[in-house]
Amino acid sequence: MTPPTPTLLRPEGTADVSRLLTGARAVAGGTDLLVQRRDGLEAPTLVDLTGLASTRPAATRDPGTGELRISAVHPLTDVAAGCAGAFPALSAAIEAFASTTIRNRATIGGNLVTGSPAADTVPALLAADAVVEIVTPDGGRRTVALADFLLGPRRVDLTAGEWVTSVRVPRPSPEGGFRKIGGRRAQAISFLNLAWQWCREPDGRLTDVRLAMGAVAPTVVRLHAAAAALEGRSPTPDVVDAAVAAVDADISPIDDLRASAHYRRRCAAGLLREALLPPSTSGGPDQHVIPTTREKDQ
Amino acid sequence: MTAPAPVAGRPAPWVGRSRPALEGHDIVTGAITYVTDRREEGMLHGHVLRSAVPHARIDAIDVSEALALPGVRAVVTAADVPVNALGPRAVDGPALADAVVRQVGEAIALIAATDATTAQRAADLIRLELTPLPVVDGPAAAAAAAAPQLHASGNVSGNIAFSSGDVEAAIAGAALVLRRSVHTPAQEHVAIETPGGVASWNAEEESVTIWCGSQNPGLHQRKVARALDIPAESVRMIANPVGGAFGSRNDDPMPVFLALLARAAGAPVHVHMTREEVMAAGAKRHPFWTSIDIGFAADGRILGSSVRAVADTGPIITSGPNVMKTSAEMSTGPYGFDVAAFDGTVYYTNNANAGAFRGYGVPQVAFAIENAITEAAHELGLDPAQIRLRNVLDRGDRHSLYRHRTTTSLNVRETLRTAVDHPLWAQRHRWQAEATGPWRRGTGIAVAMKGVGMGSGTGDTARARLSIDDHGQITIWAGPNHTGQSIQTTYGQVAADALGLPIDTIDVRVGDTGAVPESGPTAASRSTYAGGAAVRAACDELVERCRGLGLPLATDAAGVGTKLIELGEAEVNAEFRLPDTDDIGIVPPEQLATFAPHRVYGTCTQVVRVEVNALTGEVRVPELLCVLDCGTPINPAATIGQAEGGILQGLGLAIMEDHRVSEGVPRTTSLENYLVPTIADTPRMHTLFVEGSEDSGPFGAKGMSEVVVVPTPPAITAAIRDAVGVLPQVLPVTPERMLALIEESPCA
Amino acid sequence: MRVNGSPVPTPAPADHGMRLLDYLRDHLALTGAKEGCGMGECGSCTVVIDGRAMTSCLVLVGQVLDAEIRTVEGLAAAGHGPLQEAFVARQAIQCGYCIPGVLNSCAALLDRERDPSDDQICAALDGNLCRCTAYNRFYDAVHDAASARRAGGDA
Repeated sequence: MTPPTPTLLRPEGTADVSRLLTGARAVAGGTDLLVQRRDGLEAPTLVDLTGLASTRPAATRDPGTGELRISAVHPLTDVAAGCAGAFPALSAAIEAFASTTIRNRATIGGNLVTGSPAADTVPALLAADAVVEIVTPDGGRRTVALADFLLGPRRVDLTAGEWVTSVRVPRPSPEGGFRKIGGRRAQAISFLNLAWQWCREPDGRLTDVRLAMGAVAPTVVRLHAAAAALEGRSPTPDVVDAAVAAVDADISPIDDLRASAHYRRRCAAGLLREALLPPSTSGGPDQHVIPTTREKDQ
Repeated sequence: MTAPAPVAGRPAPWVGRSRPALEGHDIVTGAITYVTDRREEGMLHGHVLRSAVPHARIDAIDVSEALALPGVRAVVTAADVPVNALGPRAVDGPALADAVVRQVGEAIALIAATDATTAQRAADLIRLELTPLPVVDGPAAAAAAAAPQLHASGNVSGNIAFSSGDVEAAIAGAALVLRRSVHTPAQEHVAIETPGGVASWNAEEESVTIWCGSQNPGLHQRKVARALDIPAESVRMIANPVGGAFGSRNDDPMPVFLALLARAAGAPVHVHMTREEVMAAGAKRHPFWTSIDIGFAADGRILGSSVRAVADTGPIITSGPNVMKTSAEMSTGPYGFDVAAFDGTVYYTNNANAGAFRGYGVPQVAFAIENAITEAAHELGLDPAQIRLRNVLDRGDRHSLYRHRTTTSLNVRETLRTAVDHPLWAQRHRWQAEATGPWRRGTGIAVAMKGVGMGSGTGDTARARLSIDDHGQITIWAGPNHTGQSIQTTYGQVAADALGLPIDTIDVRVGDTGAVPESGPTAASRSTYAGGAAVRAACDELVERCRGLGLPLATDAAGVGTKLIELGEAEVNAEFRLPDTDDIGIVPPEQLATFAPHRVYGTCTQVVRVEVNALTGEVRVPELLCVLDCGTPINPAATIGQAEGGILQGLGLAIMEDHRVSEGVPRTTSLENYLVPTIADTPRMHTLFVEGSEDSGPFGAKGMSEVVVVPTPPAITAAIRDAVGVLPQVLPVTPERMLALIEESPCA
Repeated sequence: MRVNGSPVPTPAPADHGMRLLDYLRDHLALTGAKEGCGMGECGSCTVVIDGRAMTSCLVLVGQVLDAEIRTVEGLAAAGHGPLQEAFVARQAIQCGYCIPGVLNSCAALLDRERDPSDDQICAALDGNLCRCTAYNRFYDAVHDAASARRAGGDA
């Protein structure tokens, strides 16, 4: 049903948000919150965060440490542009995310706080050990590792009056990718998804292997066992088989409207196997792989 | 394709020339006012209170609090409806639920208020006392001995059975006998404009004008008149412009709701359903469980086939038995063989109501027979196109089930031959060999046939009215209505060529019961064929009249118009009665309308390329060929547009669309979880026409916009079979179903 | 707020929570933007906000008080007449209900890409459902419009 019109409050600046958030909810792109209101979510007062985007960049990179800081209130289109080349797994995830009209609106902040296990930007961020920056009701800041921020389906470590301002990604890898399975080839909620990043050594070995998967557990999860099976090794058939076999250990999928637990287990294995295929044989545009771009100025 | 050759001294023909839709400019500028865009002075906003449960007894409805809410102008419940019925039979269902609710989404009460939010709040204030009843959650439950009976007449909505001989005897010695069962899901139309519009009540005249989409304005006019207990002449339906239909505006009760609200409120009322309401309450394509026993000779000839089908029509009849009638006729596909049988039953349940949907019972049974032929080709070592060529009907052949005579314009063989020669089919092996990674490639072919019009014995008729004024301007009022295909653009082309007048002197009006003669529905692929033929008949009558009076219509239309007005001869009424088959075969004459075999059929062959991801089960469709046998395509680009639209709805049915209901409760509730194809899911499509002309149609045209849906799903499953060696029998082929089939297959 | 190049009355604070779609249709009588789902899935309500296509059912008026908004009614004045003409000429229209949203997505694309590829057109339209499905014709119409704009100099 069409929900009643909410009250929308517009903060004067970052410092003003906390004051207004008492008894209210933050809204940015609204692409999830406003849909949830149709399903009966009570949110009579909203505080608009989109105006904050004009006060800062969508993404910045520390030239010293390589750390990427991504604004939580910018639309994904801006985030993709701001991270261009620096974080291929996230860029690929944004490319596969919903539709252009939604990417022009939806934010990383919204994708995080909605707590969906199927959220498409989360696996890349989790794989990269992202840290969530939160503004507390007193206007102070706290940070929490994304792995700790995600508590369960639709549950995150964010209390009343808090809001997410940015996400820090300490070491995005220049080689990575993202792949999702949905009911169609655009504008689909993931049945499951996979983000990966690693370094490929000159001898072909994969190091610093990081894998994260969505919609296979109460939150997006890291595939630690599979990553360990790959770490320091070349992806030979035996190594790939071992890594694929290890996927099961870190996932606990359920049956829902979109897919069964059984399918998710089988397809989780298939997705990792596909990601480990040599790029030239991956076979088509459904694999959102951004090619390795070791930029010379790094 | 057959475009008439130019004739000296006449304008270049319009038939056969692509003509942009007349309303195109208003669409691209946003100037067009769809029925739900309409605003009237003093207009109120309506809302429909709907059942949240699938089956319950209504013990009480208390609307007093809702009525007391400031801003509420009317609340209508079953007790307020003069004749609370959507049709003449109890199984047509009530306008508003009275004693029971039988479906989630069934309308219980209507509210009109000064704004939409107030109307919605009033709905929340209506107190319902309901006693839950056991839920009939599918045909099996409906057929069970102890099943709750959803109607006094029982849970069987209809049965149709026919046999042309002993199928088991015919296939006893067959080289190959296949006994297979398939399932096709409920499919939602997803017309992008959800139902709604405006109604305005004239208290003095006790009449109502309704602006609301309809594929059958005359039928809706009569439905409204019945419910309000007023004469049909007191109801005017203006049924366009509207944002799509595809069958959904055949059975839609919205015009009745609008009229009830407008009368109760004494003011114009606007209603626009939410997508969530449509997902729950809108009629779907009937889900079918279809079994086939079919025998083949070693050379691929079909020796006999028996098809049994079960369909779920939900709580009210809507189109159920009529859909099954079409299934029966098309259960033999476009194939000629000696012995066939069909037995189909439609059940009432507490699931989503099902009704008309493009293809009307044909995609369901065609999937069974085409899949069986695909499998037979593999089993017998035959080429999948050759086995079809060995069996297809030729012009004027007798139909396999009813043995009636088909039209001489039946060109199914030419569609197959054209498809086989196309690179998409001819180069399929090379394309397959170029597959990379986990994506396996395959190419599939399927053929389909569907009747045009309501069929023999039904008296199916379309009408047109024409007038000429003293400027030589022609106005034509014709039906069937425009629901998105811009049929008036096509009628104009027919009229221009029939009259030999410039097309811009011809104004065509459709979809208004106040002006357009009764012409039946925009359905059964009949609009261009029957409506066009009625327009042609009216034009021919005018031309004939002028010739008789010695008036030079083509050179002095204004003078001729002036003269005809003086003579009281400036208006022409004409009709086109769709011809019955000239030989009804073994159908008992007194049961002709029961089986309603067709004389005229459109046919179509499709070739589809598919890629299947062996690791994930995803299916993608990069390219597709459609070869159409539609006689003369009057507006070729519009015809191709119809083909592409139908194909994509078939593709949706094949790989993603599935309206799911469990225990009577819809699980696919919005466009977030009911998925239809996006542009990214759309293959490159090529549509070709085969040469042909239907004698009874306007300038040789016949209908085509349903048959194009039919071959797509079985062509896709055939391509999957070619790619990965397994043939899906259940639609849609989701990644999950696909991966399970790959993993279960012996070659995995 | 500016709509189709002209300033519009500033919405009252009480209306800031209203959906932009409702504001356009009910307050400004710009009914070109259509509602097909109310949740950003169908794209019929797509408008261009500060150069980007967005579904106006998921934008609240108070979020765009300083924005430049363009609806289908403003396409011609913004130099997109060729796009509109191409959709008509290519018969890339059936019922037309999705077309205002489709055109806005195409126009936003053409404003940043002089010669968009098929992949770019597909990506730009991946949030616009058309059920009559003239999707394939959309490609042709956008290419035609891009050619016309290049030939005529960017209007």
